[in-house]
Amino acid sequence: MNALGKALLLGMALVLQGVGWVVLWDGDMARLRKVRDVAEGRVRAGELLWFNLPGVDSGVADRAPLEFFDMVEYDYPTAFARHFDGTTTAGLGAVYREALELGREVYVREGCFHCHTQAVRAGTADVERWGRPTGPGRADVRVAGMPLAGSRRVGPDLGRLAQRYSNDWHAAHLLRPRSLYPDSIMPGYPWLFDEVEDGLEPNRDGLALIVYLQSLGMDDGR
Amino acid sequence: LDLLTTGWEPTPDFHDRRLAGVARGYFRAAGFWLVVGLFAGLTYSFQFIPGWGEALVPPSPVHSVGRLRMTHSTVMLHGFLISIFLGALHAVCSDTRARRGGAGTAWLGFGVLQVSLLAGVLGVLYGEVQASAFGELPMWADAGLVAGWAIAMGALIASPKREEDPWIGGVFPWLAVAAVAGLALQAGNAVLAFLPLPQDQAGGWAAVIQSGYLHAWMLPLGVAATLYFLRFRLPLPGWSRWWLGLLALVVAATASLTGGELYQVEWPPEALIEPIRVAGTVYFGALGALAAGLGLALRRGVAEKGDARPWNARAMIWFVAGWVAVLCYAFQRVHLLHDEAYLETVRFTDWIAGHHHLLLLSGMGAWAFGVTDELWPELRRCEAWRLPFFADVHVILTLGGAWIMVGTLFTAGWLQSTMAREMVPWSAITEASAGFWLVRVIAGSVVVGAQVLWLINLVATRDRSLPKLREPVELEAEEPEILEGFSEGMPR
Repeated sequence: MNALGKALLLGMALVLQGVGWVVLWDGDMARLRKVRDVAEGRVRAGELLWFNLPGVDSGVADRAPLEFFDMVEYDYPTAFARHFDGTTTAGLGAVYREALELGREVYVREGCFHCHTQAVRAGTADVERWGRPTGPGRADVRVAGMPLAGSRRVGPDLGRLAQRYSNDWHAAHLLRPRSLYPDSIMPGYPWLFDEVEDGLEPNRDGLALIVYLQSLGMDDGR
Repeated sequence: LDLLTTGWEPTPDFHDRRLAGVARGYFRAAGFWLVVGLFAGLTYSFQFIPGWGEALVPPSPVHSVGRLRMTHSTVMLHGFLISIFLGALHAVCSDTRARRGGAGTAWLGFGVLQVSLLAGVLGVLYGEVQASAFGELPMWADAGLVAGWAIAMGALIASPKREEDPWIGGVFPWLAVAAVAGLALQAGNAVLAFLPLPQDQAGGWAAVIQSGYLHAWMLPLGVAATLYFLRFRLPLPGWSRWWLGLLALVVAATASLTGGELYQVEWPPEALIEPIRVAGTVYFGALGALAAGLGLALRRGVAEKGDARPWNARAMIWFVAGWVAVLCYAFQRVHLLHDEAYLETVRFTDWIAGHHHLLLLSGMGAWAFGVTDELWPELRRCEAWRLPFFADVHVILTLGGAWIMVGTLFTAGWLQSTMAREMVPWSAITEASAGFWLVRVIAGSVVVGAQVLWLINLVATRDRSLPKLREPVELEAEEPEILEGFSEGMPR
């Protein structure tokens, strides 16, 4: 085969891949319609961008749940002051966002998504157990990054975990799951805790993870 | 398209030693990563057995469940399977001298791949923040793997001497698909991590990439390596090249359409569901046809050339077992596309893990071992494995353990799904799963044990007459020369 033939073959493979991906791509026919709208001059081309500009959703992230204020003011005030700067009233929004983003990183780093989903599937028994299907808003919409829907449940779905348990419950569960569920097979994460004078308290990573868990599903129609 | 139709001629029996060295390097790397990956997988699964976790694996962030799980899958995919397949491709190029140029680029690709993977695995174990898409590797490791992949594949397919080995034409489409898909998927993974996409859009892309890893990258690469290898060793009839090449294009198109469908949070629009199902059926049907057709082609090749290996040869057992696994995989994937009840059984259960082990361990893993079984003794200039008994036991234990593991995971998945639908408390589901996880760990231990035998054989199999340079060399005794000005006996 000459160079032209090789290029054609490669080109065909590439085009077929590209077409396949575009067609499959989350089935968003609305976006294809938008292409038509742009072509016909009804919509500005800039709206075809596939991402939101940074900062657009900052308002969502700054609407912190009550559990966050509990953590800062009552549950772990000294730990929060030690691990996060600016825990004043004016700076709490920034701290919440910082803790959320770090918490998501810890969730990814420890591979939580290998055993827990954040997705309730429509048309399945999921709905009976976990409630209505997860919408396009997703469970962790407050933090930027790829969705952590997961593909397997060794443990239960976490898509609507927010505000179901207290901060202390999460801390105890992360430290020693079997202290709450004797038959649990979830491992403990003692490295998310520091020793202090009167016992253990969550360290920076631990606090952040609890903040993240308390945010899951907050914006999912609740 | 003469590339696909050129007749095959036996190639002269000589080796490009430099490329053979690269192939040996890949096989050794695969052996190393196999140990790391299996150890990580076993340590991970130990922690699902009540009471075993703390006893055998003290709590530590370095070997926590999540990080070991990521290490296992990453290492088995990038470290073991890809290393074997790239090693096989280099070995065949070495045999046929089908590649121009020196081994420098090949070694460079090898080095970049291995260093990136090692750094990436250490990064995962020590809690480096991973790529956002799947959390498997740090971003900088992904970048290194993309670079290494580009160099290695570029060196392999850029300048083949087709006049000396025209059969590379039959493999070229597969290699091209694998190379392009590998680059596109890794690059796409990196781009997605940085683009602040809305989550629902990102989900669709992530699903496509996740499935694309297996269907558009790993599978074509495995098929390329295996077919190229088989073609070289077991002469296939000329007609087989045509449909094998065309199948590559079918795979490229339909894997894209079907890939990731299952893992999407939302179904595609109603109008697209049926075309996607049809495309998926074509793809998996083609995969099944490939598995069955390869058998026919081999039979035809035996009849035409008369020099094929017997069906009960060890390598043939590996290859056939691998294709049977792929056939089973294709069969169940078609069910997934068309049967909602089946889909619900599979979702979020151990079935998913069984499904991955069916394709990657029982299917592509068997191909990888088959390739090694044929190639390694030759690369070490031996006629056969040094410990043939170990090689035989390796087949039995690996395939037996793998299929028990897959069967256990499928059964556990069915049980978990049934219990979940009946609203059984979650603790009861995990309690009921414990027995299956125990069997799985035992089956995994058997597989690990088999690999220990394989590794021993890998090290032991070498031509002991090779290091001739080490034999004592008799030199003529010379009278010690006394330099002027030095006294006799003074060290010189």
